[in-house]
Amino acid sequence: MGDSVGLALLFPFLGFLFNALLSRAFPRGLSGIVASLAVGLSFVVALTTFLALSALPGSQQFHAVTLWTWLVAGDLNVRIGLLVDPLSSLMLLVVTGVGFLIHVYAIASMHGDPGERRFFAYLNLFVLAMLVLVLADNFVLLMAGWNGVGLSSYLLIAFWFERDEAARAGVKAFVVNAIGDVGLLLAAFLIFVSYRTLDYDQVFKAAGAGGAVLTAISLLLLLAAVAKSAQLPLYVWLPDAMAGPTPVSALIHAATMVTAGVYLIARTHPIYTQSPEALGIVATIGALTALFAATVGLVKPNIKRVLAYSTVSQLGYMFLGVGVGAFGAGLFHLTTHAFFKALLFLAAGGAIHALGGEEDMRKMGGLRARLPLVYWTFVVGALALAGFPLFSGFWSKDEIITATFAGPRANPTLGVVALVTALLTAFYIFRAVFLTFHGKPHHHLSLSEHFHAPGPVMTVPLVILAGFAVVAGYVQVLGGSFGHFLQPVFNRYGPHEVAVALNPGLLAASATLSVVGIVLAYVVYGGDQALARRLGYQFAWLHQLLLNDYYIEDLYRLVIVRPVLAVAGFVGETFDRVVVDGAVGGVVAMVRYSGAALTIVQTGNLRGYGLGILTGAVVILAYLSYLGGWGG
Amino acid sequence: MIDTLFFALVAAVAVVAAVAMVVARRAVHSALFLVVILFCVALLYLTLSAEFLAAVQIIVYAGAVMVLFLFVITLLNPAAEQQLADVRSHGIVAAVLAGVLLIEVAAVLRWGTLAGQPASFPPPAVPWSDNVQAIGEGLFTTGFLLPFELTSVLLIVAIVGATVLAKRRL
Amino acid sequence: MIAPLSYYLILSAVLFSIGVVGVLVRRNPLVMFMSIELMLNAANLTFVAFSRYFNTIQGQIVVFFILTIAAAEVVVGLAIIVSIFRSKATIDVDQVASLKG
Repeated sequence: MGDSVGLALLFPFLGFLFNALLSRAFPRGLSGIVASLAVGLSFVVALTTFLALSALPGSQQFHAVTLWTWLVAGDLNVRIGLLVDPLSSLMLLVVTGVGFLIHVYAIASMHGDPGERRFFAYLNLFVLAMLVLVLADNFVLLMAGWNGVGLSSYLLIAFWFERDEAARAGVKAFVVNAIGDVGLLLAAFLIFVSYRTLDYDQVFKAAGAGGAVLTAISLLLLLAAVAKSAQLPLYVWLPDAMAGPTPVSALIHAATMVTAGVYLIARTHPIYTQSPEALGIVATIGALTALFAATVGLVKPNIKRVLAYSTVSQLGYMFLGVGVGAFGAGLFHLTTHAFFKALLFLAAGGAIHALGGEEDMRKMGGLRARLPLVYWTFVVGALALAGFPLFSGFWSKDEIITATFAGPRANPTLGVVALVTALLTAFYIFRAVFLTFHGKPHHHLSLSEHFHAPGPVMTVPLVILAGFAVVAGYVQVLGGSFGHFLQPVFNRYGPHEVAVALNPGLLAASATLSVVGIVLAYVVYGGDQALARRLGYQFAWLHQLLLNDYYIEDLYRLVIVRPVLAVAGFVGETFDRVVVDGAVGGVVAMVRYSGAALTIVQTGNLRGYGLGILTGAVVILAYLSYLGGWGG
Repeated sequence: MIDTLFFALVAAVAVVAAVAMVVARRAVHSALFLVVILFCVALLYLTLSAEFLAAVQIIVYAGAVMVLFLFVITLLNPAAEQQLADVRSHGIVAAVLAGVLLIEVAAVLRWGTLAGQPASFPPPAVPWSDNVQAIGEGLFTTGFLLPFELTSVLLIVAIVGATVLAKRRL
Repeated sequence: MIAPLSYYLILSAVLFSIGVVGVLVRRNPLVMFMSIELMLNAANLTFVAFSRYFNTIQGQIVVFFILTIAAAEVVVGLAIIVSIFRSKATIDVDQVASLKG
């Protein structure tokens, strides 16, 4: 059963090889089909693995597959080893399933782009890296996947590298992610120094003994997770990453890459549970990020940016969930979020595509009539995100909120933050709905024949995702099978996961907040937006504060970017010219002059050389006989 | 005693021939004096129970190498017989250095580690007739096999190289 | 009773020194070559003498290799002399200094 899981890696790899090396020999349209097929086959593998796994009793749901040994040095033994357990098979399913739908969607949305083949090569590479990350059974392989994800996200964000904005966004994502990579690297060093192994199983068993080093390891891992999952204060790369093509936004920023941080914490929960302080920090960061991003999302005019901040905010929920020890709830939200956020991105992409690339919501408006299917699927995604009762986001978000109030590590303050965020979430996402799809059409393309209505290749993934966005929550609610499925993972190294029953009072509260948020959005943005403008004038300072992300970006620019650029400029111009070039020039001059001086010796006279050899021989013989005890 | 006398005789002939070789005006005379030296060295090999090397010395040096020398001398006859004046300044330096070299060797013999050793040779370990067998065993069983095979490569390279150099056009 | 070891060594040194002087004094490359052969023979004599003195066969084996190298060296060296003579019409080594830097 477990052995076939390697195929899930093989297919995207083959797809990547085909698109990177061979696809030039084939018609351009083929690359997208091959890429989708590769991920689709991976999905089939994931599905069979998942079904086979869920048929087994909990204690037998752990399969380690060693493909080969990567490197051995002293105690360090790194294997290309895959771990198949409920957690990784769930992630496998989400990554390949949502990834497959996005690939299909991308066939249509990237059609005609000059870099189509390159795009699908990167996309397959990305999926491959993400699968390696998820399936790894040791920290080194995890890091390989982790960095592979970072690399391919850089390539994809900067896909339209001829645009300055995209190139900058790519670099920004890469640099910020590199900060997290340092955290992961240091954590791995610390783990190896402490336990002499990097295999999950052995590390987690050893971690059961506790110790102060575990807090340090957890905090370093947290740094990595925070950078990858775009949490405060390292969230800055994600909104900018919207410069990439829409399918990339959907894939990276909804379903896969950003969830890696949550996955990392869930995977290393035996370490975290030994350190309540670290878990508390995780929860606090999560709650603050959720609130922060939701408030910023209230005012952003760009639809993809609103979705980006909403991703940051929802990831904050997931962090909050795992931070209060509700690992299953965090992953449950991760799963539902993957569906509805991918749906929202792809639907928004449909609207953007229809208007020839327009992303500013203030210029959209009235698209409901022209794009009914896109509209309805977007609304479904928005309802799920807003936590509207009976949609998937409602169930998963409430599980987190319940755990925050009533779980083993309950923290009511953070719970209140989560509830406020729920209200804001409903408000900002329906602001996007009303601005984009209601009201009067503002865009000149809205009524013209250049309007690109999306075809079935784009709409079918939307409908499928919309279906999941509605029903995904019931997997858990009806019989709690979701948490039940993950239970073995989180209880393997001790009873770390405590199930919390949903609390009807909290359910009602969050449902009310969600409805209130939607109604408020309608009041402010549903009509002619006079109220919105008036509020904007009245609280101009607040508006500016939010619009500029609380000036965090400016702070970074002032404190970090400017000094670094200044040092780099000094090194690049002054230091390089004077010291480096000077050293090189000095060596050249030295060689030239000493060579010129030494040509005098080279007479070409055979006899002179012979004399030199003889002199040397005499001297050496004298020296040797002196060494050999001449006279002694 | 008779051995020492024999040695003295052979050594004297060799030294005289060597000096004559260096000072001879004509290259062909030098070559003939060299043949004399080679014979003397072969005789000394015999006194040292190295009769295989003595035979090789005669065959390879006197037989092959000297023939080659003479052949080239006849080939380049006018040039080889050029009367080229010796370079005196170099000669003086060379003689001084050679003198220093001799003094060094003498000093080592007189005061070096050999000084404490017995002056004469010990009785031979292998009988006279087994010298060839001893060389063969030494060559093929004590780690000299690879170098021995490599010498064949060296000789091939030398032959090819000489052919390339000597031939005007391949 | 063979003559003492030191006799052989001194003879070898003398022959070697004569060879050295020959190489440095003569301008005829053929004679220079012969002097080099003389020096090689002097060295060989030392090897054989020590081989006998220490009753080991290795010294003779080394001489065997030196003989091979000397033969190869003579072959190549004489070929070089011949081709130099062809291009320069002289074999005076002092005239041949094209490697001057």
